Amino acid sequence: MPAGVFKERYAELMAHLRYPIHWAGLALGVAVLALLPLAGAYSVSLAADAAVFLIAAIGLNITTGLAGQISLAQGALMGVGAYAVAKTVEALAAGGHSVAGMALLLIPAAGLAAAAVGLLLALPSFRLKGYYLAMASLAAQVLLVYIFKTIIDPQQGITMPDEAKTVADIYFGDGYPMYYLVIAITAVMALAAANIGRSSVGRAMKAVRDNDVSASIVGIDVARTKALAFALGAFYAGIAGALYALTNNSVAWDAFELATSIDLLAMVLVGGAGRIIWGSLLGVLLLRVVWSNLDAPLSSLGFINLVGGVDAVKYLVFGLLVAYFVVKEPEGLIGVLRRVKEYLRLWPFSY
Amino acid sequence: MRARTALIAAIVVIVVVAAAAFMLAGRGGGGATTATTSPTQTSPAASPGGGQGGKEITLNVGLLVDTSGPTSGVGRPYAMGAEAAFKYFNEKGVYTSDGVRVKLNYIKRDYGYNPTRAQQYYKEFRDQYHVVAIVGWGTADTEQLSSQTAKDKILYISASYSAKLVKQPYNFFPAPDYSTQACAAVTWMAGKKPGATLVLLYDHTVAYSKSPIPAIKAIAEKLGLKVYDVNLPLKASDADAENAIQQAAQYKPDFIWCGNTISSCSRAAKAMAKYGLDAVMVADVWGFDERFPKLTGVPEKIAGKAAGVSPWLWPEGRENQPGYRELYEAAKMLDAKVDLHFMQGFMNVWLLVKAIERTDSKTLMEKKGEALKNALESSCNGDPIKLGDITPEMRYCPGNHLPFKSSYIVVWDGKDFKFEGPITPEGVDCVKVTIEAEK
Repeated sequence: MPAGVFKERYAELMAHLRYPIHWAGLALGVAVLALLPLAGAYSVSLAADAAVFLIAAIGLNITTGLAGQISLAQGALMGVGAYAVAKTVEALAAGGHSVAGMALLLIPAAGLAAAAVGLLLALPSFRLKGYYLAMASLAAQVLLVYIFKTIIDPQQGITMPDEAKTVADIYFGDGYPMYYLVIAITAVMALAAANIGRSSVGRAMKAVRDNDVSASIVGIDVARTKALAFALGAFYAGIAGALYALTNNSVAWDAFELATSIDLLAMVLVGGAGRIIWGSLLGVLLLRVVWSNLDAPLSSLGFINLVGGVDAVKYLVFGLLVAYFVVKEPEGLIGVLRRVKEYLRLWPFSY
Repeated sequence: MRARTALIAAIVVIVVVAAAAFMLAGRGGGGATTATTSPTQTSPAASPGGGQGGKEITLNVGLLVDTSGPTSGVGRPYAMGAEAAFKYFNEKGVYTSDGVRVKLNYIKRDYGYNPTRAQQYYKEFRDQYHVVAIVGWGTADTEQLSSQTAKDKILYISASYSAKLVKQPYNFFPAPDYSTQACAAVTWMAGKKPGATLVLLYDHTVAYSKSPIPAIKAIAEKLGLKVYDVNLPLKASDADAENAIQQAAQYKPDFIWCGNTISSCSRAAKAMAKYGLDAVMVADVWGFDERFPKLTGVPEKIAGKAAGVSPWLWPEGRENQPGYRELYEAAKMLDAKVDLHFMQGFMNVWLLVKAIERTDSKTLMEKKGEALKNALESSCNGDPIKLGDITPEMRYCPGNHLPFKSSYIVVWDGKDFKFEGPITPEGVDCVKVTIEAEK
């Protein structure tokens, strides 16, 4: 019996599931996701909501974590995806065409639409870095929301008809079909993102992130890599937006305002920038799942009667959390977890 | 180093376990109140009078309010009024038509005037607490949810009186819609000065502010008023308000309509006084209340020049009139101050209580929200609904939930509020104009 795990082929070394613990984790994850519906309808909608934000956070983690291009426009890019679906369905319905299943069929198109806008956002990144790039993306965020408010959705709210969310008599806008669909798409998107991170494109992005001058010296097309990073991140945002449109009763611009972009950036920073899947997942778990569930206990504790309401408490904690991670744990929760793993590996004899 | 790592390990384990527990429990570790699936029957409970003594039904009701967002200034008294009403009616006893006592278990959530969060809380109300009714708040969120509540058959009583909601099957409110109220205001203006010039101040990006504008323009044209548009942000600063008033002054208006909420409208009135604009401002129902003169800082300068629309007589000084009496008793239970918005919250819960009283326990258990909707709609051809003397007789008809059409104009005379009316707009179907304009 070998003392440890040995890899004899490159394929084994490159596999996503390399160690027994990976298999155990996969089994546990699948079991939790499969059993979750037993906990009731509300847990299903919470999980679907978290999955939507996970996709958007993974996208932002590609742009910001992997390629180092700070983006404060991920929320607005989600909006591009959501409105691409909602407006197309609305226009088709107004033209008297059948919209059956269109909310699902248009999901890839929503990703492409957002990717096209993302490419535009990449333009300033060719000349700008750091804070200046953040400002440029902030401008894009504000501009996009302004366009949503004034041109695309002046009534604040587009509701798609039910048949747009129905395929083969199954309604995907709510309940278990919605849940399984969203989870499946999320799994596919996450797997794709994991592979992007390991590919030549992903390594080029990391090189650009770490030092763009040396990256260009070794022959990486920096501009192309940045453009790709923005387009990929935006594609993920677009898919997330389309799923948002599917899982929510209506699409309105208030869901894609600056606060959403900042939330997503915080998820990436707290979870772990550069660790595309696990970093994003931890960030979403903490800042979306635990977060949205704090309302009920905080309300019942009487914080709802404060000036500023429950949010006052939540944003206080939120601010402290982000500040703590930026100062003390720049690698995010994933870094903490890695140290825990190292500690446990040698436990109880750490020397 | 080891101790620190161990500490962090402990924290991480706690966080992960907590996250898992949250997910599995499906809600935040025990909600605000009980997790009763409603309606549940518990027995025995004291039940004075009534056929089926001993039975009691508990109904979960969602209370969706803004106590921290941009409309919290009026949202807080509204929420207080609704809570007072729940306590008052629970204590007094709510009975179905066959005498079964109903306990109202309300779950309060503050959505900060953010429709997206309203949708999340709606899912919590529906999937976690299985509510039969929701007492809600703003225009954008209520309109966005209206198709969903119709699908889920949940009665939705809102503080938004948007004209669009009049045609929605599960939306109710005990007032004329915003457009009909605004039309009453224009009718009042035309009666004061025929051929007058009217400037419309409102936020051109906010659904609530925009919704009555087409109806105002339609009835103004019919009554021979000249109308101009000026943008005034909902979150206006003094500078925004002065800018808007200076734009308005170019048209030499006789009247100004303010379609925002009170902070924005009172700033505009203050700017009117500052620039000596000689016009009468009429604000909508959320733009004018007891605090208005004080908020402008110049209550004596705006005497006779500031007014508002109100579908009901305000509660001040009416402690002994039917309806208002109950309101004051409820306020006493919470030690709260009674004002217009407190009354609006109270009235919405009262309307829900009226719905319960008009249905029998069997139908209520079987059809839940649908039973309540049918109960309110039975007023169409049957007995009208009246909330004491606060409202006139109200009739909700299937497909047309406009309970009455008249409104008062409340004028600040420098010392007190004077009520003129009630005024019923005629000649233009203000609801229809609004809905068609939005298509």
